[in-house]
Amino acid sequence: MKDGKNNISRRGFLKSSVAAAAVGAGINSPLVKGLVPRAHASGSRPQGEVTSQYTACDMCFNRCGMIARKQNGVIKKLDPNPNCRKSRGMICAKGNAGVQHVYSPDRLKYPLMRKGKRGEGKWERVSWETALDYTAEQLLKIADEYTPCGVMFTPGVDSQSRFVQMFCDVFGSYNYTNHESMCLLSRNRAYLDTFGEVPTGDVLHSKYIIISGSNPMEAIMTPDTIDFIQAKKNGCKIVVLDPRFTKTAAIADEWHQIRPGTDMAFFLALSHVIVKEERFCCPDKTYGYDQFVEHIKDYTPEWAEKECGIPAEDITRIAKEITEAAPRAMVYPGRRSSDYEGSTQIMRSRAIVNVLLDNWDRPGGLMASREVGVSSPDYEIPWIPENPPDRVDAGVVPGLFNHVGSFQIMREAIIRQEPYPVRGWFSFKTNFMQTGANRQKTIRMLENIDFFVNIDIMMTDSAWFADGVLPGNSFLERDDPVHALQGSSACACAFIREPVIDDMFDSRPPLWIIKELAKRMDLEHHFDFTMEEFRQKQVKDLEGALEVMRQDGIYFNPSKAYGIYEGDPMKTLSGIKELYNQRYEQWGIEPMPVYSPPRNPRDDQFRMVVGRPAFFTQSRINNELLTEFMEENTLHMNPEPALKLGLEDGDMVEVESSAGKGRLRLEIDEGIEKQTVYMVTGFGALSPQMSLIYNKGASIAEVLEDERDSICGNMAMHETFVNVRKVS
Amino acid sequence: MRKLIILAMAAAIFATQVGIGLAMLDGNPRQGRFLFRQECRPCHMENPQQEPAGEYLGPDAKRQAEWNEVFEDVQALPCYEHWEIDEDMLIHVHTYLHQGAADSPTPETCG
Ligand code: SF4
Repeated sequence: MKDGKNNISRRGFLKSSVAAAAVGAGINSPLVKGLVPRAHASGSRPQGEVTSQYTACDMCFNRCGMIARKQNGVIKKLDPNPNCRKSRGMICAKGNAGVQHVYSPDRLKYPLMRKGKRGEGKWERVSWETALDYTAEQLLKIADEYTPCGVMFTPGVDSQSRFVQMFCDVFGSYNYTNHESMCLLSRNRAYLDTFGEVPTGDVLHSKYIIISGSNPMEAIMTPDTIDFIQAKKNGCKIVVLDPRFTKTAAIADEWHQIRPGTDMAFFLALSHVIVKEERFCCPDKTYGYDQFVEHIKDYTPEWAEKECGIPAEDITRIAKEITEAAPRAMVYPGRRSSDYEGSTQIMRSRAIVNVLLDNWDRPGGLMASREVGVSSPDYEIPWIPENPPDRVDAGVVPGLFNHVGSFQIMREAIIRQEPYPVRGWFSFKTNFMQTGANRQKTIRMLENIDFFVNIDIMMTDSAWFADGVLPGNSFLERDDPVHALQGSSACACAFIREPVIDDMFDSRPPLWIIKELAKRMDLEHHFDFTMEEFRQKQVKDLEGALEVMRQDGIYFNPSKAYGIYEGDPMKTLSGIKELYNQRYEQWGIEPMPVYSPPRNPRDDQFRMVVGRPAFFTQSRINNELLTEFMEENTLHMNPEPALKLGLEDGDMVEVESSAGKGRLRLEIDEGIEKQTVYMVTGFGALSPQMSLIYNKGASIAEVLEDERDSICGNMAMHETFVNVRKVS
Repeated sequence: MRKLIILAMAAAIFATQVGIGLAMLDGNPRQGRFLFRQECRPCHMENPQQEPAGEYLGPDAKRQAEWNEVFEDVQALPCYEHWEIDEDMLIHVHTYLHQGAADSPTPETCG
């Protein structure tokens, strides 16, 4: 934050957002009643008592515990909940800016129906009744003509997304996807196929951590981000491999500027040294050890040096150091892994090193899921014989996750209308127009969508292209179901949200919207419960848990953290850790990771890599308190190629791939590899109602090509080569 | 070359829909789920609502190999005579249970 600017700006923001919101809110809205008198008559009204209420953040997926401070009906401040061990009693900049999320003048206020062409921005304000009648009618019409699978459902990260899943199931569609196929599926595939489960890293108790393909100091993950600092204080060594000098590299003991896409070479060579020097204790606890030893015999550190650029002696030394620290050592599992066509196998090479560190289910290593004890209430899913046999994206990649599929493959299928047409789209809080690589293809896909309804709290780029836009309420206006969380060694926990303020404007909770639609479709019996009844079912095995959630803001289950498996077989086909994956053999793909060098950009091109800073969550950046940190994104480039291209810091450049282009300012960055350029997500909005980021900077969705992970269909976002030129 | 062969194998596998490893398991898991809930679930739930009451059963209660064992000798199950499903339906149920078994590619969800 720049010198004292935040205080002044925040005061300014409050004034301006109050004024702007008041204009659009209507005289009866709580905002106007609550804020306007005070805004205009400061001091003339007695200051009400400040009340506090526990809640949980929703500015990203971590859901850190929060306390909302409210005065005169207005949320004044959000503070961390000191009881929340998962977040170590912290909220980050984004969490603090949650107030602006609620009171943003850009919030959607009423249901809207499109009047002009898609993306033209002509809307008609309609009543909820009209909006719901029309939405139900359109969805039923599509189901009638194309079967219920003719509608795609895409909920975002939200405690109420489970109700969208339910709605999708009882409506009868299989075509459900979410942001996961642009995020963490390659990691999940690799760990499931090695350990039978997706672990969390016990960062706090580790003595040696290699971080590759992950940037947890900026892409905040709780409690890990905080625990890295504490672990370091406790003597943990951190080694970072990254083509960029990231904030994570800045706290590391060692940073190696690895060539992009070559991480597998490093990990295979690390495995080679560990195996050759007999530093692995337990070959008999793995499946396919002998095949693996044979497989990696030529993957020497000297070979890897030529591929990844990290000196052979460093690879050998790191192998020795990390095995000396094992089992309190790990290759950090990370999260987003939507990078390369081979991302699953790259992740497998990391997971395999974790096998060789024998760190599974042990302190300082990888942790299995702890018991939280929250149940998932059951519901009936109808069988609809006229539906097609499978998802629209089935049968293209071998390791598709059946319940989330792949947005990339679904989009192709919708464009081709094969294997069958999908003509409707029900979206809640997803913004694929900003997060899905190759935006032009998403726009093309819309040509085959007859009806697109979007529930969100702002007119995102996706909402801007919708036919109906329904204003959802924010996390601070909501009753939410019980939400269970894994917090590494810190906790296994659960929380609820109860409304801190009333629904603003004409916004409504997602569950209310779904119930109303269900009524119009004869599906209401599936949603015949109140939120409290639903919660009671969720905690039926946890006596008193809801009271604890209300009293402390969070419930902890004192479940076992380590040794959860103790003698039980792992959930792999062999029941033990799979170096050689049997299922891959059945699927006809390489059972062990085979290195092939990445495609390289031509001399006049760069590889585009993307990420997010600590103050934005993907495309959710239209927040005045947060854009103070960064008003528009920049293109990071090493000074050497910049000099060759005659480019200087601050120049406006055009970055172009075969998918599209964008304009943004150049930022000279000595810490980035020479043929790599980097930019952050979320900018270059198409929707003028995202007023802070409209036409500012460039959108990753516009520039990135849409390659995919060949095993699980995850988007591959680091396979794009771009040209960069100066523009005036 | 190996890669080419592997790719060809993969294509063949998809074409015949035996990605789950057993040619007989080409049932529809969604229909299997529906049938399982209709036929098996009332007795195999936490508080069984029908006789003969059995232990709680869901796909993840067993591993894939264990489900295969169960269905190899399905007539031996004490509840077999109470079922009202034919051979085809059994394949759907088996496919559903096999696909969701404890050691199946069960995903972690995000958030
Ligand atoms: S990390 Fe920040 S944005 Fe994410 S839940 Fe925690 S406080 Fe909110």
